[in-house]
Amino acid sequence: MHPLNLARNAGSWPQLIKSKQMENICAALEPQFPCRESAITTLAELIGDCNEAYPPAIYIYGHSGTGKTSLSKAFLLQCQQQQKVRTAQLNAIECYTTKILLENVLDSLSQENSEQQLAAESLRADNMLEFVEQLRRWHGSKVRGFLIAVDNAERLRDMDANVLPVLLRLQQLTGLNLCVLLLSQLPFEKYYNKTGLSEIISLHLAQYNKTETLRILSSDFDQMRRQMLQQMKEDQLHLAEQALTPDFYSNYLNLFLSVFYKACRDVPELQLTARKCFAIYLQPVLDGSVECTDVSRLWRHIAGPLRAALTQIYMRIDKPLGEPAVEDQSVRKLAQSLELPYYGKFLLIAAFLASHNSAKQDKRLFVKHHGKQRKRMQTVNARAKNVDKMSTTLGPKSFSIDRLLAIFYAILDEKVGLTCNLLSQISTLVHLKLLSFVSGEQNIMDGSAKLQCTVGLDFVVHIGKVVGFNVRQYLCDFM
Amino acid sequence: MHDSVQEIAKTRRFLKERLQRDYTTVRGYESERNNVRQLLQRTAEMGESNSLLLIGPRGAGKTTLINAVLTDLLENKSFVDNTLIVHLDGNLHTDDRIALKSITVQMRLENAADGKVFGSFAENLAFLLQCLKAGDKKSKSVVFVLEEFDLFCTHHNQTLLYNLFDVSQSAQAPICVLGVTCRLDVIELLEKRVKSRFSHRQVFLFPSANKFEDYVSLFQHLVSLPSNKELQAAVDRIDSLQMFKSDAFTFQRNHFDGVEYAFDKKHVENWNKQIEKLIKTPAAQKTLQMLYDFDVSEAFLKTFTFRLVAQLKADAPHITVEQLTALGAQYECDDKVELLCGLSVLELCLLIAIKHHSSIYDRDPFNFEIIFGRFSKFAKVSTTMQGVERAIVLKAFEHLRIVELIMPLSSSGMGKVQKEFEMHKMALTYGQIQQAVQRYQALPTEVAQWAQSSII
Repeated sequence: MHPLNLARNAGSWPQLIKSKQMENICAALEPQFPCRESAITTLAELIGDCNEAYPPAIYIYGHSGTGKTSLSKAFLLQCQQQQKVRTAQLNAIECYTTKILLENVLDSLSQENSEQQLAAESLRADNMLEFVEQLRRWHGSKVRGFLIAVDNAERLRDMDANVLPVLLRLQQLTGLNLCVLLLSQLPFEKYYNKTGLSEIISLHLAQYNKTETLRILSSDFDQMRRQMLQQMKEDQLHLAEQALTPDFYSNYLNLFLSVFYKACRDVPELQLTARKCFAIYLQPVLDGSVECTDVSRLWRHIAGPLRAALTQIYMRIDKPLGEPAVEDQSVRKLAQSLELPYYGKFLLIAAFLASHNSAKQDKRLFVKHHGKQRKRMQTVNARAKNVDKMSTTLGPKSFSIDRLLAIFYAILDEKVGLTCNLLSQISTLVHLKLLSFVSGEQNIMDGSAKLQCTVGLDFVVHIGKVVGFNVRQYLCDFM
Repeated sequence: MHDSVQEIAKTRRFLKERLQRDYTTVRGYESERNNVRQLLQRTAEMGESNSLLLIGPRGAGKTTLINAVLTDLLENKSFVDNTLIVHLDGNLHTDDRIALKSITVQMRLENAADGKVFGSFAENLAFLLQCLKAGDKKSKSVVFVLEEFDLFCTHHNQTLLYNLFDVSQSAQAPICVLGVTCRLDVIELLEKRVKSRFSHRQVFLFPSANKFEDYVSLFQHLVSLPSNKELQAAVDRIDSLQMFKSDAFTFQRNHFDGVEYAFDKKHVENWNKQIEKLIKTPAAQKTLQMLYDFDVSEAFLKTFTFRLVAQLKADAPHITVEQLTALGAQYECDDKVELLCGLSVLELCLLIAIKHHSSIYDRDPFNFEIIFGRFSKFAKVSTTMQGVERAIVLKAFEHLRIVELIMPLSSSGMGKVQKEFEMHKMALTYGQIQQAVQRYQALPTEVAQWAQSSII
């Protein structure tokens, strides 16, 4: 309908115009959020029209990256712009005390009329009662509705016990047309307390499935194309323009998802990585070595870099495009590159053995003439191997410095004096976070300090290889 | 045409508002309602002091019952003149100082109490009550409504409760204390000296759980449109709310008011006929029965109905059976299974490994190393999970922890123990994992098989 017509008719059908409010919001949001149509419609049905009664609270949950925050933010913005509803959006992580939370809500809700009073005095709310009373004061003002969105709502559980119940009943307590939206990754049952909570409408934003993920990722194409073409040199420009078709990009995305989708379904994360790796995919085409339609050869080029990129997902290591995305971070390399002195390496091995063997076994492991061991049924049963109960999987135990030194001397063939040089290596290992203090950090001198070895088996095995020592031989788990 | 669109919009608005803001209509509970009313009446007219606890589960209609009784009594002029109503909420009045301040304000005695120094809480309260006595022979009676009564029991020494009950016992001034709580054991929370001063009058509200027909007719009532006559009656009933002088009672401010609405008679008839037809269908009956089995409370049904009514649109002018069953299905499904279906295959694999570990070791706690060991055994022989690095698996494990599908055994143990070795427990049932495995879209067959048996 022509806007002028709409304006003329507004007088005769005020109700009709009002009922359009919902549709307006939906129409504005749906292009922004592909594959979220049903959620937008449901939200619009519930809080899309400020002339209708809002529900007291809505709980929106779903995995990270499903658009909880951005969708509600955009929705609230639309409500604010189209219907002059007051909105507040906050993140519960930022509000580490109740007071901050309440005053943040008041500040955002009072934005309009604070223009008269100026921001000089922001509203104060020392406790829940003052907060509710302040809200009650707005009753009778022209504002038709209030919307409050709280992100990371699971944090509300750790706040004062009255925060969550009051937020859920805020509409009843204030007598305003007010709705609280809680956003979180958890199902609502995680919030239940001893005396229960009032009813809430919950809305699940389901994780995107593979087709939807593809659709969202391929919406990047235009932007990627522009970006790529900008970076091209003159001679490659023609080739690139030919190669960069939607088909080419969707082929790439298919290959990309075949590697990434099993490990990560977080769409923003996928989007980020897909953008990063596209240049590598395009490279052979620009060189002229591979046709842009030859998917299988392109796959051979990209498979390696993609697998490498998979190990770096979530890490957000920013590197210029084109470089080999990842450096080899295997334990072996790390262990070999660690420049420890000879005795330091033995100390570390000794610490590992002390952490993962029980003190009872020390005699058997390290003393030459430890005597004959009686074989009893009990010990045989106890020794029955149980991979899940091995000390290497259960984590390190603590040991004293005395025990560490005893094992150190037992595994070292040569004789060394107990000098301060040797002892200082222990503190070096602690500084390098290869050992850590469990207790008694202050009492190193009287021998009550307890240490723990923080490195894994693989690492120590590699260190052992460097100095020619077989670590596994001395571990009870592997005997 | 436009008329009908308008009618739909109006219907939707009306139903939404009635569902959300009708704070004073109680259904059932006749004897309880009379009980409370008589108590309040006696306080107001004869100056008797009393105390009473209203106990019932969440959503049973405790607050609504009190609101309804007050609405009834407000029609009575002598009640309005003779009583003051003070409303306190355990969630808002978190300590006795705040509560006393609020009482002073609600009794409109700020001026009288201003600048006075009181030695004790009792003195202060006595002064407030004394102020009401001054003037004429007959003193004003005060009704204290304490919402979330159990929270007042946690206040230091239960000073407020002690003083209120003490006054109500010793006939210093006519007051009536109405406690509202959902804790059945609330009496046990009272200190001995407080308990002995309480009248031990308790009214229990339990939604009647034995009549499905009532539930269905309640649903029908909630979605039907009233005739203009009924509408008028409702309007008359809440007229008395204007007499409310309290600021703390907010429900009267935006109480649902039928005045603005007048429906076309034909539309009302048509609508109600449709509703009647809808309810008679077996699918609707089945859905309602399911809701009834979940929760018999009216609040629950109202939320459900609200969502249903919200779906009304110009191009969908009636509530359909499909909408009803679809919405019912949403209530039926398990949130956790929904979340599980949104995990990546890797994360689901970890959960399967956790499940195997738990079933072998009788729900022993586990750490990352244990699960990683079990997972890598599977990964070695599987085609899909090969070559997944340890760092990614650790990240997946942490994600499971963030969404609280697994929980650390001790919350304080952080920092001392390396995260690979921190012990966790599973916050899922085997059935939920099983369901998720069945419903997961395009799950590799080998993973599904592994979920069935831990032998690889």
